[in-house]
Amino acid sequence: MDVANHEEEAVKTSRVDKLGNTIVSAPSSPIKQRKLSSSIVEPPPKTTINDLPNEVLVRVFSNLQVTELNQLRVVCKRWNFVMNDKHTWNQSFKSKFNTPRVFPSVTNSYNWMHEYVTRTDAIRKWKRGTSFHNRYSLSYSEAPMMITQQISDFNANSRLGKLISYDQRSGEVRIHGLKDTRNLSYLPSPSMNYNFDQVCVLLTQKYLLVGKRNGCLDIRSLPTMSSQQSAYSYKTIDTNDGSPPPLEQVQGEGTDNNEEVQVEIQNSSQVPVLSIAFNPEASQKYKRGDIITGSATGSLKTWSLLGQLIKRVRIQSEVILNIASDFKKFIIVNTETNVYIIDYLELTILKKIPLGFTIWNEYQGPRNIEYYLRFRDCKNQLDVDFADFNIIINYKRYIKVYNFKDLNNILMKDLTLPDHITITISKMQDLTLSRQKRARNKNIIGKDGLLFANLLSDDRIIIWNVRNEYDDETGIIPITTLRPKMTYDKYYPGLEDFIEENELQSITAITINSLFIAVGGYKGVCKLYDNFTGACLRVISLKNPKHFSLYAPNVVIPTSFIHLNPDVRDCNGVISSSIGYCQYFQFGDLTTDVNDGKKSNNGSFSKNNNRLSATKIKRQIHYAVEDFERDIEDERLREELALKFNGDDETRLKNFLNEEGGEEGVDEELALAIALSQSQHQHQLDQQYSRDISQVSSLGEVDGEEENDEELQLALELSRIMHEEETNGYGEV
Amino acid sequence: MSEPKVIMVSSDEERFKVDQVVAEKSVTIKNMIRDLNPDGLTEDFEVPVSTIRANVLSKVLEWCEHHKTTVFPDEDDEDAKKTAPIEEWDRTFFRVDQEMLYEIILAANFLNITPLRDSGCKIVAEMIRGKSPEELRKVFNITNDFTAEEEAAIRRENEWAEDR
Repeated sequence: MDVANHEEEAVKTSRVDKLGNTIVSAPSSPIKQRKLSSSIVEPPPKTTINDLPNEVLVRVFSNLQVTELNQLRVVCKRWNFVMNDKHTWNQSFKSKFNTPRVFPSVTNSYNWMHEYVTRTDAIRKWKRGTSFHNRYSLSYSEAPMMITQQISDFNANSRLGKLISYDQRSGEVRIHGLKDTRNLSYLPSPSMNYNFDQVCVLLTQKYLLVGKRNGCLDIRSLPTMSSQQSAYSYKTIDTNDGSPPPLEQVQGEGTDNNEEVQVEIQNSSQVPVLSIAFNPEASQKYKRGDIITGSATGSLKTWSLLGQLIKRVRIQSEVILNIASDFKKFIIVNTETNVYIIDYLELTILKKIPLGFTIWNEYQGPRNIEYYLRFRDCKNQLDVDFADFNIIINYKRYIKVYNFKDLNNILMKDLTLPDHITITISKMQDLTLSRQKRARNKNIIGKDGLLFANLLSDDRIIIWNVRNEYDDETGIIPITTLRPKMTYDKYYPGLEDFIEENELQSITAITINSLFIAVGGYKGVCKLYDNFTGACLRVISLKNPKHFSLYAPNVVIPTSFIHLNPDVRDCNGVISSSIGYCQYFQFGDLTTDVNDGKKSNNGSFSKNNNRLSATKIKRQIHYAVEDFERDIEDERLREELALKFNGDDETRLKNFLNEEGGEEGVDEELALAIALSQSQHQHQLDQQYSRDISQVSSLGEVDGEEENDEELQLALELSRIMHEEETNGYGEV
Repeated sequence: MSEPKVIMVSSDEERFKVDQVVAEKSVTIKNMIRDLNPDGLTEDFEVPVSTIRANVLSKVLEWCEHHKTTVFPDEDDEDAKKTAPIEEWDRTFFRVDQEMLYEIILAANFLNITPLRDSGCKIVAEMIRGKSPEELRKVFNITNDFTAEEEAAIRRENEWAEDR
């Protein structure tokens, strides 16, 4: 800073005498570079750009593109300083974004300007980006599903994303893209009454792990999207065999991971598996503890993916309720009364921390299996931020955070809510995979904060920072307290009264990323709030199809899952209700599409608009056709799987597949599909897109309207051809 | 009786008599008037603005006069402000030399006339846009106070560590 001032002064003294009062000259074009270069010959101006205060310079720079900002740093020390000065920037961020001293960065860079501009752009996009929505149902038939777990991966499948849903009741897993159910893969339930056996379920990107009441652990490999058309392997292994079953090689592309291994946890008595942790990078190649299980009687064991026992330890007479691990150094376990920090490799207890309260399941009887099973529904939530050594425990009205960076000096901060309030949902900020693995980097902007949100029973939401300082006196102080008002009467008159009468919470789901918290309620209402200002930025609503109300006329369907892209520069996400009805939303273009978006902006406005709607219509027609194909395909798949399951015979399955590939089948299916899609086109076009078309025609001239009709026709033709080709293509496989 | 006016006195003692609406484009002056005259102006109100020279003040007041009825987007609606193109009149208004441009921005910053400051900032940003560091130093008459090593270090740093 000193240097910068010094430089300014030097410039001033050398120039003063040459200047009189500068009088406004007749307007020429001083802004153009031409004139400016000639102004070098003239006496240099007394007031220079560097006389502008820092805040103003920041405002100037904030009008520029990120790519341009970089080279500004090289111009002079002052500019470099302005671009990096923590104080100026903290002020600017505080006034513009209302961010506290520690907050999560959007760019994870060291460059304040970059963060400022990217953040502004991201917020604008989330707020006002052109929205694209697509609704779809995961249910094959009209009967709704009951999704109990759902995870997403926005980068999978070359950034088309992936959504994995698990229906605990039926034991089925469905995997598909985020935007729609195209390329859906399906993993059926291994047995009837599967629901009854399940004590804890862990759904990961590649495997489904189910801990059962008899102490067995099912590891089911999920089909990948690319291997959809190859046959899955289903094997029934006698769980009482004792020794882990040999692995059988499975035929088919990309399915070499598909196997089912059941591990017997306890030989003598049947002790339920209450908690599981799974290494996302698990591999069959290594004999290492990729799976960690915790039993009701305090046995903690690590297993390889092939089911070999690696190591075991027993925590005497405590119930292992939750396990988390980085699969490198630590395993964090919590029981009813304690938190344990355990060495991952040696399974030695490094530290025992008393919780200060007891997690109790209100069961009065003896410690039998019923007692243990009760924990399934009323255990606490454990989150671990391994990147900064924070353990977060949420239970009823307690929030406790422990920092174990220094094992000899465990830090603690907590928040205890008033007696009558409990925590309903706790969510840690979504992180991209690479950030989850990386240690906290305090040097990046915002000191690499990590947010946590709690929904309280009085419909308030508190947002706080996990990585704040540990201060014994103040404990956890929420950055923001939200009291979202979910107005349902617009969508569903009388619902608000219903909620009040039944003493329900009007919020049913929350999800938080570095900028926003998404709040979901009944009837698909979802709102986005800024984490720091608490302002409502956008309302998204998911409409459930009418036929669901036939199945459950008196049930209001809650939004159960909201997925937001952890990289907030991409404004997309999925809202899902537990019955399997989903809505994909996207605001503006994704970052990979940025260039395309810019190009299309060059066209004149009305023309551009027209074209946009036309392509939109085309796209929707395309989707409609594909939806139908998909329905048929789903039906077929279901039949196939049912046959396979009931028959339990691979040759029958192969025969079935071959038959399906025969010419007759294809022809029939094709004819059906075309007939269906034609009627569907009529229907859907008339009902759903007539509004779009009318908008287009009202915007454009008469010519434009005709052109649109032509395009529609063309699109219809095209989609029919595509349909034909695709069906044929499938038949050949 | 005519309405009371606001008299602004520049650093070089020149007096500008303007309507209250015009002067109140400046939030600073608006607050000052409100604070000192809670019941509204009854007589002419004199404000010394000793940091602003007459020729700059006359430009600023010219802008205020022109925009006295313009409704600008909300103060907290930063996005709308940022994306809004510069109005043609403003563009012509800012056809002044660099010194005047900065002094107008400084005055607008001091008087808290946000839309004027923001247009000015946009004009400066346009001047920066698309230029190499060398060109920028030339245009803005900035001496490169970096040593070659320092400059190289920043250029290296600029390939910033960014991870998603």
